[in-house]
Amino acid sequence: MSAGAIAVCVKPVPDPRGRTGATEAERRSLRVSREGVDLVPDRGDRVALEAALRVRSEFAAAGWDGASVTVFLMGPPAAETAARQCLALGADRAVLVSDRALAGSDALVTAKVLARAIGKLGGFGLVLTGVESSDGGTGQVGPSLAALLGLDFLPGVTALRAAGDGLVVEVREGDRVAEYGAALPVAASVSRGAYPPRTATLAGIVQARGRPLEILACADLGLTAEEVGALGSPTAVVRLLPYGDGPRAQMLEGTVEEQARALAALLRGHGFAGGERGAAR
Amino acid sequence: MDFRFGPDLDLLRQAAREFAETHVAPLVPVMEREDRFPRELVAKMGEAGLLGVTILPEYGGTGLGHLARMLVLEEVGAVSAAVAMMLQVCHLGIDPIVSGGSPEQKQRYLPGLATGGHVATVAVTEATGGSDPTSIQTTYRRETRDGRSGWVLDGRKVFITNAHLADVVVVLAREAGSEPARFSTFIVEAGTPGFRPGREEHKVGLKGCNTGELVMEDCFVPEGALLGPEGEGLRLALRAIAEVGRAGMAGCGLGLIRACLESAAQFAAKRQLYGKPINRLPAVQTKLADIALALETSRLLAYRAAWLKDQGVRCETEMAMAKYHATESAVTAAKLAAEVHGAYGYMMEYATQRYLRDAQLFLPSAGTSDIMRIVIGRSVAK
Repeated sequence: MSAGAIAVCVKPVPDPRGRTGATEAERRSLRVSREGVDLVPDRGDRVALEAALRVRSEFAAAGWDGASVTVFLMGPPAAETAARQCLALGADRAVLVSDRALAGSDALVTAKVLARAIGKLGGFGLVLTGVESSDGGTGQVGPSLAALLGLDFLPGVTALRAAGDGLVVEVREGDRVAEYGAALPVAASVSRGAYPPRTATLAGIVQARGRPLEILACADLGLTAEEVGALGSPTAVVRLLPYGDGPRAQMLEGTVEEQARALAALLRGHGFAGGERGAAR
Repeated sequence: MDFRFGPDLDLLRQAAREFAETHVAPLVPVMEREDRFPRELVAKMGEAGLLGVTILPEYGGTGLGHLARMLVLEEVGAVSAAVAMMLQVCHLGIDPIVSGGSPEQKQRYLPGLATGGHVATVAVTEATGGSDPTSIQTTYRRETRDGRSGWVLDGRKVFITNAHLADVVVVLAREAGSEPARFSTFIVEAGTPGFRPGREEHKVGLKGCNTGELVMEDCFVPEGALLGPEGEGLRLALRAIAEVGRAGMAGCGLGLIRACLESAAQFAAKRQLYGKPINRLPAVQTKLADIALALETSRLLAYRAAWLKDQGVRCETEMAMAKYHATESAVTAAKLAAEVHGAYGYMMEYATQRYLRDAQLFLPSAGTSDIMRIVIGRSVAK
């Protein structure tokens, strides 16, 4: 193991800009369409990448062996741009697992594929993911991946730093922040608000030209078509429901007191605040 | 033909878009309200590499070129036409130094301009009209002062973008008393005695993008301020305007058209009429189609012209076509986007009113639409 070697899993997701909800095709197939759209690194995973890039500097400063960041992605060939974007942001190396057989993979199969890819390269002291993706949002890949790699898992860390020959991580627990020490190797998911991700610079794009980007198929990881994709997935999406549609604001009118009464009635009507004492009747 | 951009430019588009959304978008309401350019944005643009896109790496840029620049302007322009305009004029001010500067001038100015330490502009237009640069009245004459040989500039430039921001100004002047007129360009640094910004314009649109006068009164600049050979100034300045300034306006136009398309499409997907979103209505779909067509046709002209520039091919006519089409289309797209919004399109809460005001100033900038058609017509008639 190279203590300073960091693996970061990054999901290529459809560019959320301009999306107003699931498309007709997505409603029919019950899958997020990754065809014919720009694929970008998921925002939550960008936070994990940012954490990795900052910790890499600490690892290097501490003289840790092999301080580097390798990103792992799974997606269609178009996800290569998302992989290159990670390189432009500062990752040293990218590995994209791309294979038609992977279509329809659930969270467990995704974790299995990523675990194989990480295992194939080997030697990582730290494996980072986001907490959950912005499209699938199961939150299962990080912990499943850790289990498959046989690593301890630190969920939802808000900060991490090198300490001695291990790590100290911070986790928000209610209204306090807890600090934990962790021995390497270890896996962690990074809380969405922990590290505001940097934006790529044009110089970063130029510098990333020579960095290695490896594209692997299932066969390269010793996986058969039956073990992955919809065939190999124990879970399936059975229904898609609209999320966040409909009116977002309702204007209340009248005096302050009338508005307060109307608001309380609305909250009760939606199942909130029903049992609170002192609520306006 | 290969219409793909390739990995660098795909990434560049993403990076520029993120930059615009992260660093420019929050400043738009402030610029609209205060009509002042946020100087702190210059360093950020420099750090991101947006200022040095056409500057070679040995002078602190990336040298990604003019097609890359077009994409940067489109992405920034989709968020703020005012910032895109400021940025494009920085590139315009940089170009004569890149193409006509001595090694000493490049070393002195380009690193600071690439990183955002300094802001550039070009000062050609005078009260006599931008369409006829040969009629300018600003003069230069050779003189020695305190044992130093140099040049003395006198005159007044108008409608200069970045006038009050610029640290490095490329000035076109005619030799005093020369007949026929002889033109030269000079690099004038802010703070030079006798050189100052004058009146600041208050425009209907492009709020926050600085426009104003530059005044030279007995302004002595050193020998080394001459940019390019003496007498070659008109050619240097006009080529920069024709191939970089007009390209920049096309880029601003692309950004604004895309903003119109996105805002109209989003509004039409949400706004309900007759029990369904209005994007299901053919009358609205035709407007969306017209904006989409405006964007794609403008892109094809602009991207190709910029690609020609990167190949080192003369592209004055292609740039005139791109500038004309993209800026006229921006005006049309803004009107159509406002129409899709109905009465909301004219309310200050919606960005469409800003698009209407901003697009109009694209038409006269870097050459009016009439001048563009004359340039194109001449190339056909020759």
